[in-house]
Amino acid sequence: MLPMMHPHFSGRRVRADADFGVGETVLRMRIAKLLKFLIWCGLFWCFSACGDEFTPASKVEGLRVLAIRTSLPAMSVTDTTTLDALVYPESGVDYQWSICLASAGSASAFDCISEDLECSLGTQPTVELNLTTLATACLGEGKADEVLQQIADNSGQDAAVVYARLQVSKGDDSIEAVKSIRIQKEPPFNTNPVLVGIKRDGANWGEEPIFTANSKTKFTLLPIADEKSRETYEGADGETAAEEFTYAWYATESNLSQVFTYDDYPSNVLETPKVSDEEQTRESTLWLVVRDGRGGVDWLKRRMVVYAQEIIP
Amino acid sequence: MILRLFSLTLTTLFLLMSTSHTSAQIAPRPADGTTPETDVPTEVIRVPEVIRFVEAVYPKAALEEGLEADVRLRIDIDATGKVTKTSVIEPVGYGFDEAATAAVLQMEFSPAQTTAGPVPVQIEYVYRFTIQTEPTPVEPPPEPAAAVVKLRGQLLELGTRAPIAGVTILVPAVGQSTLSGIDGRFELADLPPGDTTLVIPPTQYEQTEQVVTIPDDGAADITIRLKRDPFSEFRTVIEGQKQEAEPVKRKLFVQEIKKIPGVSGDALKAVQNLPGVARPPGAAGLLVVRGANPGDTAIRVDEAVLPQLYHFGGVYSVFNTDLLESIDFYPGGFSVKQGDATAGLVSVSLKEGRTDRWGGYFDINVFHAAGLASGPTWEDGSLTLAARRSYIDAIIPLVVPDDMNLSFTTAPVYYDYQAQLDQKLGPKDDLRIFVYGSDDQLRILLKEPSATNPAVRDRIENHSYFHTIQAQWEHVFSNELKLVSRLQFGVQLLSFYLGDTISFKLEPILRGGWREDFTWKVADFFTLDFGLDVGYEYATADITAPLQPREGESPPPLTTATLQSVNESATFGRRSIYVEGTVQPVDTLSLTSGVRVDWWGGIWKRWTIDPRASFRWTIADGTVLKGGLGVYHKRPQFGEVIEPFGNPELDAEESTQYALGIEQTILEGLSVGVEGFYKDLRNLVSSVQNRTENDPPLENGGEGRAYGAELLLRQRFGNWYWGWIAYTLSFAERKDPMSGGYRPFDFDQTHILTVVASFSLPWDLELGGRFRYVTGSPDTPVVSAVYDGDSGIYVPKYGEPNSARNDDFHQLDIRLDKTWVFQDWILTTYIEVQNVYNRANPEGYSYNYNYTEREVISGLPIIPGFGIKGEF
Repeated sequence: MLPMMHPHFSGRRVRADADFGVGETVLRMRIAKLLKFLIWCGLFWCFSACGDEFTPASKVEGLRVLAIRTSLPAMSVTDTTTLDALVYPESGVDYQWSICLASAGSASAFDCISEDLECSLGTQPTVELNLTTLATACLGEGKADEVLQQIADNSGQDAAVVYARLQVSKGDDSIEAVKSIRIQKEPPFNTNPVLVGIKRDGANWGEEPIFTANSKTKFTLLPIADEKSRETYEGADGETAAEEFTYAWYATESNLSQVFTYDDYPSNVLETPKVSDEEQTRESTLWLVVRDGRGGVDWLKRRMVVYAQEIIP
Repeated sequence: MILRLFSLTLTTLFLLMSTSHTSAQIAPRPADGTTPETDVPTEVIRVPEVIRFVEAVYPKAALEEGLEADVRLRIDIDATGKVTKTSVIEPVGYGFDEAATAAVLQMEFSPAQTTAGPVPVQIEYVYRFTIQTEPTPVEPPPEPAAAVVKLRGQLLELGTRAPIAGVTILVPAVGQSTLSGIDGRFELADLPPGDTTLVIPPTQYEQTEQVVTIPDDGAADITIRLKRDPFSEFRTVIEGQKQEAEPVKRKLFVQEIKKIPGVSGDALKAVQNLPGVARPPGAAGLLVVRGANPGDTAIRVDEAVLPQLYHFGGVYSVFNTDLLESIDFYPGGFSVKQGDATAGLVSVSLKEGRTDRWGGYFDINVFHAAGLASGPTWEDGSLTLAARRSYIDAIIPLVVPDDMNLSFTTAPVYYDYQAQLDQKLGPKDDLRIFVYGSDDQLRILLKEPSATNPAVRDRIENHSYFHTIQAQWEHVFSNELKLVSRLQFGVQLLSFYLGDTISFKLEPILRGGWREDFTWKVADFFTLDFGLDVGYEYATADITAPLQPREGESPPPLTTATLQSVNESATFGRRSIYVEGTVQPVDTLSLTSGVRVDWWGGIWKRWTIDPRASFRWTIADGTVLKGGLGVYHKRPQFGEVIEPFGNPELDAEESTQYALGIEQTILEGLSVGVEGFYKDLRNLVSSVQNRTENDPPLENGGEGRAYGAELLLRQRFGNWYWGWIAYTLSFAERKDPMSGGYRPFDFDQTHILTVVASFSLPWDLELGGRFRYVTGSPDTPVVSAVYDGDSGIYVPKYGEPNSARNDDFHQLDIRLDKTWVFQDWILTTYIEVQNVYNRANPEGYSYNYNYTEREVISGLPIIPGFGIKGEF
């Protein structure tokens, strides 16, 4: 008796080898193409998905704060400095300046640790700040002495930081902005960098407006900073370092390829707006802001009039 | 006269798991009788054979009616060969079932032998009752003539050439049969000359017929290759698990890991599909277990620390999946044998190399090419070599357009390698030496800075590597006492640069480890595990970076962050002892309790004591109640204790875990488990709020809790269909100085549903799918922004931490495998499509320059992938 416990018994023989060499070269080529396609898809997703739909930061269309400057980016607790701001539009904007004497900085979005430590500076486009005077008027003599002493103590380690706060508003729009001021016990105090001009396709672009008939034309722009204003300082590691300038570019009407450029890659590309025959002309304003990375700021403005036809007045 | 003829059939040891080179595999049988989902299969080197046969009493009524029957039984045979339990698979009535059961319970077998020694197994057995109506005079049997072997053969698996043991070979023409041995060989005697047809009935292999010519003189030799049948009903007969100390352990076998759609065969990513694991963002290789931070779960390779988990943080594990035997995942409640983790444990077991012959594979997929070779060295030894290298670096320069805002100075490239030597030093000593390492490099030049974060510019550079050697020696002193000694030493580099602003370099990191694990069976009902666990780390840090945000925090843009610097070396040391006792007062109840003491030295000195306990109680056949509680500690990380980034006065983070669950076997291979858990977290490292210059940035100010339930309905791998439904209901919350009260944890995902299913199809096709539905992750909304005049960018102001949620996530992935089985090798190709219906799953938001507009950042779109693998 055989142990036939299985319900079905259909015979099947062991099958022979199959030939797999056919078409191997073709297969390899197809794999390479597919790999290329897949990696391209991945890269496209990685680097093109973010932010292209937004209006570029360099395009100025509504209320904007483009820079805040203190005439003394670093000073002693008794010095007086002037604060102004590069704001668009240049008129019809309300200003509200204040100083926060203690803040955790960017980690808390520059919130003042206490409302009591925020002191009003005025509502003019340009205001003056003397920290000792302001604190005394804002906090009273006793409290002011305490706070100023704390600032002075911290400034002895490296520098204490107070924040100038600016609220600009126009109609329903408003922007909150801050700018640090370094308080040091001793010099050297940092000073602002100085911008001397812009080169457009290699030629100087002066303060007078440029007239061009070439709408949708690209120009290469190069910032010119006064190299004498590039200071050296002692870094956190004790080494002496030269300031590295950062350039921020803004324009109305025109398009800029980048908003920020740097010493290593300082140039930018501006594309003029397309002007229709009905419009005749469009005016574009360009602002260039330079920062030295240590609180120093400077800016300049240039204008361009773009014509629809080749009519240059 | 009536002759009662009792014939028997051992229906072979069919595999719980198929492998490429073993003829049969088993796992120890659980004492509680539950359907196992755990334990490592072991190679069977000898199947049970009948030593003492017992004749059954032929049922009187059946005999009178002339009835015959085959009774199919399932028999549990213990490690001594004794029959401990039988059950009738298909009752036939008429008293046959009872008679067969009574007889089999008195029979004795030789024990099943594995490479690890005799083990309890379960087999199928047919007890045949037949009646021969022709009376035969009882005569003394003649002296058997010496049998002349006329046919020698061997059964091998088609493609893998693995010997097939325990399969019946029939010669219908002469009514002979035999079984293949452990090496797949068989012999048949006294066959007539000429053509004879051999029949191998269907088992887990397809039925095969082979015609062989028997010579007049001498014997014929033949090799028969059998093709595995995915639809066979004769599978998964031998199964089992050993009694576990932990209340919840979930096992993934390499064979199923490689077939799970959407994980590309990656071992560690496969774990993300189990209950208790939250979905990480994007393709990140994070393990978020039961509401804990990713770093709170320990990952061990043969009980040793794995220095790095993934290439580039999530592309692929640094480990070749084919080196692994299995992965054991403990979402909580793991034993005192492991420490320095407050959440779960992933324990990776390495597979022994093959000892029958040299074999291996080559593997090509979208990311890399890999190869593995394994074979015998000298007596009782094996060597396995494996390596992988990505080739994205060769292709990217060809496909990146010139006008894209980046150029690859060093295109992303990774490689890893493994070498494993297994050597049996004697009957009681086994040695394993394992050398492995990995290297990742990437350097990108950004042509333009980021508009919202201009510090992100210039170069982005990453380089990391590790090289590790570990040795394991296992010595069996006696049946009661066993020792496993392990040594590990490795070197590691971690570096990252972002322009000239951020630099992070840990080099070198030197890591050493030493473990001694004793297992002492004090009595039949009491086992004691004890040992020591010593670790040492030395690292030199050269870091300039901002403070790292903690869980729940939203960091300011890098451009506005204050940078901190450190350049110093430090050591971490750990000396730990543990002891754990398991009492089994009755067969159905197991109680485990232990304690672990860690003494930390070097830069951070502390004591921690972790008591833990668990139980498993078989309350009915196939039903197990289980539970546990324990205390767990984790030391602060290097960056958390060095100044100015951390605080050397930090205490260890601590969790207390509670779990209670039940397992139920529904059908053979189909089981369901439900576990409830509660986890209390204390001393969590958090940022100091409103700190002054003199305050340390970190403190133990955080608390947390995680609670919920997990369900796993699982059809075990090994059938023509397999898969699982995993559902987790989870609530994970944190409380810290930043939030004040409880708030959702970063990875709090209330509902996590994962359905994995795979089916074998005709033509050697296998189709699988994975569907996931997960509650959207918490998000901290931006409520406004402040223009920073120092940097020229806006700094966001955030709302309450994790007070909003992304939309829910759902995604379907499918995978189709096609296998070609040739005489001596197997070619497998697969196509895998992730996100089949191209769901734009939200992973977060990107904002415009002043944070007044935002758009959803979607996860990966539909992505096809493929791979080719040749095994020989």
